[in-house]
Amino acid sequence: MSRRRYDVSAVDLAVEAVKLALEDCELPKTAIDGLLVNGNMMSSEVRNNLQDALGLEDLTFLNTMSAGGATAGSMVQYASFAIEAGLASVVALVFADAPLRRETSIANSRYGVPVGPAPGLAGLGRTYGDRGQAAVRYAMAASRHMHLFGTTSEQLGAIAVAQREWASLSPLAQKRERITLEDHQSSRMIAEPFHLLDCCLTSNGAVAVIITSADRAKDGPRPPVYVRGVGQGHPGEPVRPGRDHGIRTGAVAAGPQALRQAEIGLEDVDILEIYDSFTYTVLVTIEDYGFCPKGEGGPFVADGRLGVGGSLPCNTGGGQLSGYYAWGFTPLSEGVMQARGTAGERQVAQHDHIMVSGSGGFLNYHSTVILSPLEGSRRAVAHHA
Amino acid sequence: MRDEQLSTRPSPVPDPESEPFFEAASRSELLVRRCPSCGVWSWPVPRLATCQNCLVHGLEWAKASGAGVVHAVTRVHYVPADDDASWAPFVLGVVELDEGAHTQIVGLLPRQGDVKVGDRVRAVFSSTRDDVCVPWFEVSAPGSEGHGR
Repeated sequence: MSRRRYDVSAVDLAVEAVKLALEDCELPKTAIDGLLVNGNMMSSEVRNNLQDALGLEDLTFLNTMSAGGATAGSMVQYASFAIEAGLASVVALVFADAPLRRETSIANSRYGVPVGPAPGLAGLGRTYGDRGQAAVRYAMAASRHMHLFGTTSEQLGAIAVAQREWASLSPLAQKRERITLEDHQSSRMIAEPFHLLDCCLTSNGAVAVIITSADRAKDGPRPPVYVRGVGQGHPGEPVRPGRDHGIRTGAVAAGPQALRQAEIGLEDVDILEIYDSFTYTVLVTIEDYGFCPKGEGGPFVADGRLGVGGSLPCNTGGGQLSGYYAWGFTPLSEGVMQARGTAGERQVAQHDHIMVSGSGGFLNYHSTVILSPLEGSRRAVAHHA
Repeated sequence: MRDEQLSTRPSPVPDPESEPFFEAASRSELLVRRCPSCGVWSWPVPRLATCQNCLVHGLEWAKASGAGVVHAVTRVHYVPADDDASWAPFVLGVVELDEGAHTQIVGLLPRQGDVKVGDRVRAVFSSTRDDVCVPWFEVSAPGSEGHGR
């Protein structure tokens, strides 16, 4: 993920990630009997081709899952259930995408939006200038948070600055040059209140995570990472009567579920890996998990606690703002590396419990995973990013 | 009204489902949906004629006052398609109509300065490139300052 790679298909990237993951846990590819593919912008391409590209002929558990950036956590949950139920013994979870094309802007990448007229009511958005841009949806949520609670752009900027600090220590990160709050404030405006540095990157890349039983993982070459808890929470579309647009997310439901399963409290969480489509997504998730009261996320994140040396390390690989954009697999893969203690220069000393979030749609979907190097359940994850 | 800037925007293409909506707009009337069973109002969504509240099929068109409050808003500076670049910056938002429905993302007129969450708005109607009339929202009265909940 550290270099821009073009002219490689998402399927080829996916195969490479699975190969590296298998090497990491010293398993032959024939050990894989379960495969879950993350739906993405090119989901049919990866879904239709990955099994055959991997040459897998004996799968007993196969599906594509689509809850946007919340999919990774849900996949961890389903794979764990499948293993517990005896439906599969080694499940590969895969995200791959290759939206970037050489010598063209991200706007013209395959995440680019449709142009031209559209029939009927669907055409209204084109007239208004709404092309389904994620930045517009999240910016409106942030605008409402600012209105209700007085949250500021500088407070959002503190999240971007802290994550870039972490990215500067990560060889996997796309953006490693440190930034200041002034850099954030002077970066060009995208959709108010979001500056460019409030927005995530776009990446070509793939991540594979291998899940197996704890007993089997213990026989592997690396220390297992245990899945201690997983929760889902899906409030659905934020634009609905009676809903406060983007103010409360599925993290309210998913966080406590995951913590309860892990038998820990928020005070036991050493590291946060929070899905960061935009800076605001981090702020609202931290509030919804209960690290601070609703509305106080701005002052909470602004004091530097999320950065290197802070009391609540967050997005320790730079996240998707500065690291790489692999949907929910960015926080999940960084969480696994931190749990193993193999994150190099950016390794957080205390890493017993890592809270990983995924968020999809426009805050429609949410998943939470608690990872730990300490055994507490019968399930385990081995992994390669 | 005919707004020079808005008249350069691409037109939606009315189809049988949306024809009543655009026809009413040409008469400066805002049509939204109302459930004949539970009476809940909703913004029209393509290919959805079932009430999200009570799940009864057969949402009907109903005339809304066009008045409401800005629920969420953003001024868009970056437009990911070349043909829109000349519009920027422009304002998009969600309006809570007085009837209770929340609009989908709609266009707001930015001419009166900053549009803010909480501002009172009303529907106004302007023609697009191909003379299809479309509802927009403009501020009718500024709301109170925020941070109070």
